[in-house]
Amino acid sequence: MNLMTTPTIWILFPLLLSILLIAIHRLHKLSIWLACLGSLLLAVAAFIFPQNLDFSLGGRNFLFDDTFLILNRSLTLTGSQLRTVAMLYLFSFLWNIAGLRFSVSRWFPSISLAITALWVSTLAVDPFLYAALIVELIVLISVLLLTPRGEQTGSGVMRYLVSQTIAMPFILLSGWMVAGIESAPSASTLILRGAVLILIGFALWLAIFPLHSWMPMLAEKSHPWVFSFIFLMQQTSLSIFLLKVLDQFAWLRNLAGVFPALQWAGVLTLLAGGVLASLQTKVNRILAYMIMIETGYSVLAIGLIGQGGGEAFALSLLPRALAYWQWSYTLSSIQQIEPEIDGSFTSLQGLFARLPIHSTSLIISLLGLLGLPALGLFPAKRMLWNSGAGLTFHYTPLLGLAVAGMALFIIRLIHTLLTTNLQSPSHALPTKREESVWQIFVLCFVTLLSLLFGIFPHIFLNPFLGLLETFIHLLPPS
Amino acid sequence: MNETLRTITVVVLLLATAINLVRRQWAINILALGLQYICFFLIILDVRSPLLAAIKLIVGLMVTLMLYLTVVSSGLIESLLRPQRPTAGEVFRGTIALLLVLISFLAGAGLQQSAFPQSSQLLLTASLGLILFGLFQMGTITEPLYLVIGLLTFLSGFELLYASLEFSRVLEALFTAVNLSLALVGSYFIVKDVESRSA
Repeated sequence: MNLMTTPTIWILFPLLLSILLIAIHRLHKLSIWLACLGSLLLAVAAFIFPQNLDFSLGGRNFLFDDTFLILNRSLTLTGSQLRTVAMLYLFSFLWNIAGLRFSVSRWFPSISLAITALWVSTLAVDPFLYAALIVELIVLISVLLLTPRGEQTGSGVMRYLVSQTIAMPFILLSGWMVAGIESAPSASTLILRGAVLILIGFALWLAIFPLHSWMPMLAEKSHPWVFSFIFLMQQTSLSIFLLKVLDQFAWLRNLAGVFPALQWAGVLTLLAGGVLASLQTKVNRILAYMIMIETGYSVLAIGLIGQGGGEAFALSLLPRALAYWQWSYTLSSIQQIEPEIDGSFTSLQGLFARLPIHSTSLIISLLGLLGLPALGLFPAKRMLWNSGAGLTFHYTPLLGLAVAGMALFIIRLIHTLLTTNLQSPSHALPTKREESVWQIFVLCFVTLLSLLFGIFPHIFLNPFLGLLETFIHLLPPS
Repeated sequence: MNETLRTITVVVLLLATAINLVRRQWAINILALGLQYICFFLIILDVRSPLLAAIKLIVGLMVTLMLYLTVVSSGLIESLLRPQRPTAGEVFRGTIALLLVLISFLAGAGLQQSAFPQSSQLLLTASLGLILFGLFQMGTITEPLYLVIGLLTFLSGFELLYASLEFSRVLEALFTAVNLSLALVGSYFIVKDVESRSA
């Protein structure tokens, strides 16, 4: 068995490390630092690793293989995929480094590392259909983090488990059904069935409207820090996996109606997310709608892959992660400083007077996700809005409604944060600044990063366009 | 195994699954789950070698044992012999169970013709029955034990179907891992529920 392979470094090693972290989970700080160090090293290594996998160290050359064979099946991580791997481990690092501050589960470091390694394996496994079972394993591991200690298991987590389990057979059956039908005419019934099964499977996985009902329920009960990490990883990895499937199978990408179907699914999901967000009165649930809207944008971008959607997708990955990080960090920090805040609008009234930087950070992260000019996601969203409007006028009013819904929620939140209700129990708290210098620094730094991403996308975001190099059939090099 | 024995096995399998859907008595449900895995083993022998089929049986019985031990340690298990009059819910679920069995037997042939010609009709009936019962159980119940039984039933149905279509050792290993993890998650949910009730 050849162990000098890329999957050994970025899949097997982190899995072994996560097992070690499970063994030392009682030493919480040590396990967090080890998870941070491991994730950072893996991210940096993936980023600087030569594309031809020929690594030189101390005058010696080490040629790594990109394929790890296991029971006649393979895990393949090519040089061009390593940027995606670097990004996933960077996310793991970012969530672990700040996780120390919040009272999340002791298992977070080990499970987050295992989840990252398993998501990398879904992108590496060949044939692709085995990824369905790996995703199911990730879901089963995730639910341990998503259920808060000392509370009854909520129906959100159960629906999540059911929904993701039902998705698995769709992907497995589609893989079996279309095996070796590359040469069949595109109108073949088998191809049509296979395509429908794959799309339903992805719709269940990604919580595409109307299959999203579990998401707000889960967000309400889970810790925002854990929820944002798990669903950022899921959203990012599954979107890249969908691109990989489309790139790999000509029968799927050449089937008439696949890309328009993806466009409509994306538009309807972000419309539903926007409209439902506008009606919310609990900030904990908003994270679910934000993820839903961003999933809608990702699917729309994949649907518009021939009209610049690919670039928009790649440009959105880092700013989106940063916005989720900022929102969940701020919300977790607020709930840690004032534990009586339960996430309802009533409990947040007048918060600006007590925690001005936190309140501003909440609003900035939402404005970033809305696509406000000068913030990180604007370049990607502008491309999508233009591409969507250029393709058909049907999308424009729906996209406008979705953005308006989100904007309405932000205005309501600003009003709540600024208004002091004399009857509110939180009003009885002494009006004093409880924000530490460190918290203020972190929140200001993240806001500054978001601004830099938005103002200088060509410097900070253009390197992410390299993620698309893997998809040579879908986006042929010009 | 001759056709009559295979038919009897499928009937017993669907009966055990129906008991899990209809009856809400933990001891009976766990026994029915064990019986379900034994019948599953006998049916999957048609498409798998005895050794591979035995692995499925062992995993199934381990899953059942894990759930049984969790339920026993939580102190919530009731006597098997406790008399209990059928409730309106049980009568409703019983009617649904009859309907699902009927659908499974009627749809087996059609499914074989239209989508899975290489699978036997009885296997398809068993598989469809398990999938339908599992889906119905998952859709109507929020109690952790029944939800996990529903998920395991659904997975068994799909495993049975997939076993008749394709064979891969990696896939078998992954299915085993998923089944065991599901049982662990189920046990975790049950323990959490008991803890939160006693808190």
